[in-house]
Amino acid sequence: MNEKPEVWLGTMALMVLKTLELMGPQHGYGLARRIEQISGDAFSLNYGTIYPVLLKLEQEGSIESEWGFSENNRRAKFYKLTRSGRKQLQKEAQSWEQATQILARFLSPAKDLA
Amino acid sequence: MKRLRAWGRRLRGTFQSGNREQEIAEELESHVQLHIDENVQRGMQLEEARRQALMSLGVERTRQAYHERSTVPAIENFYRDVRFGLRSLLKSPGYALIVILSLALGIGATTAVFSVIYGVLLNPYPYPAANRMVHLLVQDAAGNLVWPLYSGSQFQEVRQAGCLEGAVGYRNREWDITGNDLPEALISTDLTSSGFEYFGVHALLGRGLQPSDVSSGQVAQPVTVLAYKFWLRYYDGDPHIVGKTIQLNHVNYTIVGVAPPRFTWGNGDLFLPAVISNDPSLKLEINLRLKRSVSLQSAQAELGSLLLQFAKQNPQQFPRNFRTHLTTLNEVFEHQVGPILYLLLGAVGLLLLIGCSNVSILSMARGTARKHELAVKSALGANRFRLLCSVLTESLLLSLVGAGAGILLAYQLVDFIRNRLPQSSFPGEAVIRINLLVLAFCVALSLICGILSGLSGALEFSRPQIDQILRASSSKVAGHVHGKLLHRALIAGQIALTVVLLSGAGAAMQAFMRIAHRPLGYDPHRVMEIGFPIDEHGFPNWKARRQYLATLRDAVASTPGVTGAAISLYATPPDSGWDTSFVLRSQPEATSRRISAHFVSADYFQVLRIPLLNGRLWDSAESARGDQVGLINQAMQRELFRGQNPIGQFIRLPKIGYLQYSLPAPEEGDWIQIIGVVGNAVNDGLDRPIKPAIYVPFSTLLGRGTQILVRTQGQPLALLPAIRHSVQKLNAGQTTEPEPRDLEEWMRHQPDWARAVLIGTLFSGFSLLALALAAVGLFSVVAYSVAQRTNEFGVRIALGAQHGDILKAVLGSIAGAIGAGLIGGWVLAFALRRLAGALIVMKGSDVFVLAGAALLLIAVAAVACLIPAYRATTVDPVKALRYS
Repeated sequence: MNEKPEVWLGTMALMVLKTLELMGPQHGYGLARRIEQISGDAFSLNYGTIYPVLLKLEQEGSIESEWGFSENNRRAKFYKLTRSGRKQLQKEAQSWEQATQILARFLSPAKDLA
Repeated sequence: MKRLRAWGRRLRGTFQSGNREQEIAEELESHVQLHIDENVQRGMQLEEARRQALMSLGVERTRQAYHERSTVPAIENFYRDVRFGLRSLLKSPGYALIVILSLALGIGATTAVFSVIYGVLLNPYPYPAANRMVHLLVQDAAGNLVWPLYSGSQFQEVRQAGCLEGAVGYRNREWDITGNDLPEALISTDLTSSGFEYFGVHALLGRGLQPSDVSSGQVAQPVTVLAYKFWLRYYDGDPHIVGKTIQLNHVNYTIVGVAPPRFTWGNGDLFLPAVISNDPSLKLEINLRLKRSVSLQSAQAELGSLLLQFAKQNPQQFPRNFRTHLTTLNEVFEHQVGPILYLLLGAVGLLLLIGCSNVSILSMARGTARKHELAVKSALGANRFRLLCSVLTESLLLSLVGAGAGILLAYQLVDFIRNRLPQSSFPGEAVIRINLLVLAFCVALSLICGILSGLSGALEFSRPQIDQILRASSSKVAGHVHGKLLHRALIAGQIALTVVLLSGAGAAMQAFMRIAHRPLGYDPHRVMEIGFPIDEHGFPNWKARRQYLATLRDAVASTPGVTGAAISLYATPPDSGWDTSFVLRSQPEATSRRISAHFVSADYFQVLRIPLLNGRLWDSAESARGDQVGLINQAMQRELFRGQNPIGQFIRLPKIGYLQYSLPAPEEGDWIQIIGVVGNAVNDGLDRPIKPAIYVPFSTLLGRGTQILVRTQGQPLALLPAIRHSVQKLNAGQTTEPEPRDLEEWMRHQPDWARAVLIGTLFSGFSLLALALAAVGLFSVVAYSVAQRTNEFGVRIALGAQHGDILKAVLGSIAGAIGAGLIGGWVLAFALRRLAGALIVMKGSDVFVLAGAALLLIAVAAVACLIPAYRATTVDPVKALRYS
């Protein structure tokens, strides 16, 4: 689960940003659940790992937090994207797409070469 | 940009934790609640729901990860290491103190001594290209340096020499400041026109002297530049002084500037422009700056031939068979004080070495002591890097504190040495202050030493075999061989160095004792010297001045409490008389030997208690006429008359031209008849042999002033007001020079004395410190080996070993190192003695000094070893064995 935290830390930041963009303000638990759901069984998340990521994003100014109440009226800390977070998301999403495309070409080169 | 911001926040987080911990706790709590809610919704039991929620979150791990993210762990760890280091050092203050002291002493002493050397010897002059500046001097046949005086036209010729970039001629003159209530004497330094430019000096206020100050090359304008010290003393540092006037010998001079503090050329009170004329009374000293491409030898050859020409035209100007000798600015001082300082540098270098090796020994011993602690830490999961960090932090802490203390010590010590360096032994331009480069070097050295010794321990113990160490103190059965070897080598080295230092100190003490216990040949107790300047216009002819001086002496002598008074023109021992050549009527062939001439009254011998051995003193009638009669000292009798009776022989002295406005007796330059022999009195400084000397009546050469030696019943200086009073009764305008000297006190201000005291003090101080450090090193090594071998001793005692056996076991391992160190030290000291002996003339019983040093060392070493060794014999076998 926690074998390569550094790698996940990098990708998870992007997942968090994207999730926030899709769902709007959300608390840590919600984010963790959501990421788990989307990724399916591909990686079963240790919920705790999300908190350092949130902290990092907040330190970088990509997200902000505020205490509020959940649907079932529990006190929780909600995170939302900032403007610079949005920009960062765009940039990183783009570069990820590029990277995966290139990688894909490497991994299944037959089509292009044919 | 973003990264930077994130780091900024983390840094802030490191230092102000605030309610962060609280907040993450709440957030995790809410996370768990939300999870439980959901789990319950899905139909789980509350207990199970909670268990699942907690499990999938991993509260502690999350909190830890969060914490590390919100701070900079490296800084936090460092801070923790520092705190831990401080705590554990406070628990062993002895160790900490000794390491700090060892480093501080080494750093402080080395920096201070090197700074003094740098200030005095390496870089004393603020002049451009000072290393190419030379005095134009000659050596007589015996190799003594002589400072010739050159005429104006000679200066012009010298200046044209092809090897020179520039030249300056200068001379000192005596003046009276007039126009005030009290006349005051001062000395000017007259510089040829481009002097300020030559020295590259920029005036502090106003301007320096310039060529236009001598109009059409012949007439000096009445302008002057004040020397810094004089400006401070006489004008109280008045910032508006430029433009005001000062009256010298009844002529007004406009003050056009103030020289900077370090410009003290000629040691005058003020600078005047010198006119280069053909006036025969103009006598200049010459300083030259050689061209960059010219070697000293070739310049010496070129100027040498010029001086030979001068000597042909004017044979009296130079000694016979002289050689031209270009002397670099510092050569004189290097000779005087250089050897001492280099010797001291050697001593403090040794001290630094001993200090550093002490630090290594101690931190190795400490590393062993901490083995257990490190093993525990390692077992609890600390990685090697963290262990290294924590060990290094401690040694760095110590090094830093040691370096700080060293810096403080360096500043103190520089002051100490500066205040005790003989005044005349370094150039006035020199500024003695801490050399920051050297300070940085020493601090770096100590840090490196701290790190290295810390590292050697840390590397060894950062991969401990945890199980072994924890299970049993296996190391206590017998020490590691290689650690022991290194310890012994360090101990032997320390002892060798300490022997060298101790024997150096012994020799320095001997040198001082020799000076302190040397028979003086005169009695300085309760004698003082008072200077009386004489107004040149007051007593313009020989007879009036001689009479005035005699009545002045009588006035002083008649003061109640005074038991004797004598006129003595610069004849105050222990460094007295005029150095002069001479001719004997019985041996008319020329000699290059020189004697010392004293102009005194007949009371001189009674006041100083110098015995008359043969013949008679001159009487008052002879003195009144200025008769050419004289007394010689034993040294002169032995050297020049080889023990024959000198009484009735004749000797002639050349005209003595040093004194300005001096009034020679009518028969000056005639043959002097020797009428008696007096005992030897020290006359060439406390450390040099007594020179042949002649004493003639003061009336044969009257100067601008005189000194009067006064013997008193009680404290001499206490009588000063009474003496001044009786002198004023005689002549209300008669002043005394500002600094009367108690002869006993004066002796302690002699360069020889001050130098001997300085070396003696510093050397003994340094060597005692070295001894103490070495003793501590020895003590800790023995204590450490005893601690390591506790079990072994327990077993031995259990098997029936006696106290003596245990002592033997402990001491045997270290005795070899001590012996090797002693022998090494002796060899070193003997080798260095030749060097040091050449430097500071160490004579006498060096073998005794060495033996004494060794004995002292052995005694100290024995105590340092026996205390811990005794502890080994008191090991309780039962406890020792159970302990393992």
